[in-house]
Amino acid sequence: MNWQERIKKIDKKRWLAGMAAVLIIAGALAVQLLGNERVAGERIQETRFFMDTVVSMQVLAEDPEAKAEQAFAAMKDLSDRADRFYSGSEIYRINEKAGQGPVEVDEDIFAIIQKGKEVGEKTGGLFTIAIAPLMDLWGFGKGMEPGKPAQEDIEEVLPLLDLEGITLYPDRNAVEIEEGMQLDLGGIAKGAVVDRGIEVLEELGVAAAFINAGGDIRVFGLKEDGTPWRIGVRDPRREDRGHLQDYVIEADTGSVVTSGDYERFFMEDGERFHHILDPRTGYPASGLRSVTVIGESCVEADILSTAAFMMGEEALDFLENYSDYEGLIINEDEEILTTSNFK
Amino acid sequence: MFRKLLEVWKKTRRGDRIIIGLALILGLAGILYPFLWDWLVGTPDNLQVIIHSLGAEKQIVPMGSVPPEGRELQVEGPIGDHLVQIEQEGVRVIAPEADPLKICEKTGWIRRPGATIVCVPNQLAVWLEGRDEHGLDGISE
Repeated sequence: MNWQERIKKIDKKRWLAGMAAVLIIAGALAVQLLGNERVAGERIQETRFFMDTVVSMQVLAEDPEAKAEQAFAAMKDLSDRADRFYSGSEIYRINEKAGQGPVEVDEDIFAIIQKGKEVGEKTGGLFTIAIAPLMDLWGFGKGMEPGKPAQEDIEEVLPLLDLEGITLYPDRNAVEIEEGMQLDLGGIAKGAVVDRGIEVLEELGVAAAFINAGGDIRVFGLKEDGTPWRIGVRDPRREDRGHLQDYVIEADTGSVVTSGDYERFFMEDGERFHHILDPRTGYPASGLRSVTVIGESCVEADILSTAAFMMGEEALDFLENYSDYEGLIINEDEEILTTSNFK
Repeated sequence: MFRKLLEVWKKTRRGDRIIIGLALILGLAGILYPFLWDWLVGTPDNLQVIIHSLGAEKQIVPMGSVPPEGRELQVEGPIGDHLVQIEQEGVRVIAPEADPLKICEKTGWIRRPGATIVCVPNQLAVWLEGRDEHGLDGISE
């Protein structure tokens, strides 16, 4: 009996049952294979330690290890050149020549300083890359002993934090700072370095990537199963360093940066002093536990989160002025507040 | 409805039943796939501790290999020795006396993938790698 004769012999009900079975199989396969857009290549995760933090990277690409390696190398190079404690860095050179005229630097370091000054000025000086003298006074510099400084010492350094004391010469990538001033790119370099890593990976034609430098995160592309990256926001109220369950960000592009009072601090006479210093008062900023900013550029999100941290609940109004950025704050009463389009 | 299905079932032959059985298994597997995946790779056994210290090879300790009483590792550094305490559900670091801020010790126990402990003066970093139970790729902090 050939196949045509066999088919004729199958009654209608059995035919329907067979068809239903085929449809179920096709449906199950479709859910797995077609439900999400698949991307060619392999996704790997690599982790390094530099910028005094753990930097992890996920890369989805053909030959992802080599591409991750190139991105790490570019990031490490930029972070070294932006490190004021490294005697071979360009920032070290600028600080060494304070009050002695302009210092020419590489284009990318100049761009970071320029960005820091420009956006810092927009924040009314709440974010300042000239924060180094105050950081050192509190002992938050690398290898220093932390402690509460005398009021007169604080008052003495406050004028040195003014961004007006930084002069830029864009025609020759030169930077001049006034005598006594010292630059510290700590509040901006991580974001800039993450942006650099993403830039390199995009140039290499990577399908998707995720970079996390100590909590400064930037992503692009979709994962191999077609889903976006999922980023949690640290809940400062949780001792287990867990995340806010109701605020998981799903993104195929952009950055998420958080500034919080829980990372670096010391206790003195029963009082807690954290490392995010307010250049207006010279003391650790108060009013908020954390500020999270989302937007495209990691370096700008980095600056905005630090500046917003100084502002207490006015931070939300401040962030609303930046149409490309959204924010989430947790205040000292442990309430969560967000800008209008935070999601 | 059930009677009709029973009638249809009675008329099926062995081949039909194999196809239907296969379809049910595959359909069920498709639905349960994400949960099975979590169950298979999302367990704490999948977690591993990575210890990175200046000038030394990275040490990798799978959490599954840690005995019930835990494990301690001494890690040398320029300003003194750290003690890395690994238990089945987490890791913490005890800082040397000479560490001024003792940030690493204040960090306390870390338990989720991606969580890190960093000691800047001693250039020590300890972190957990593995699949996050909430499906997160990272936490902004």
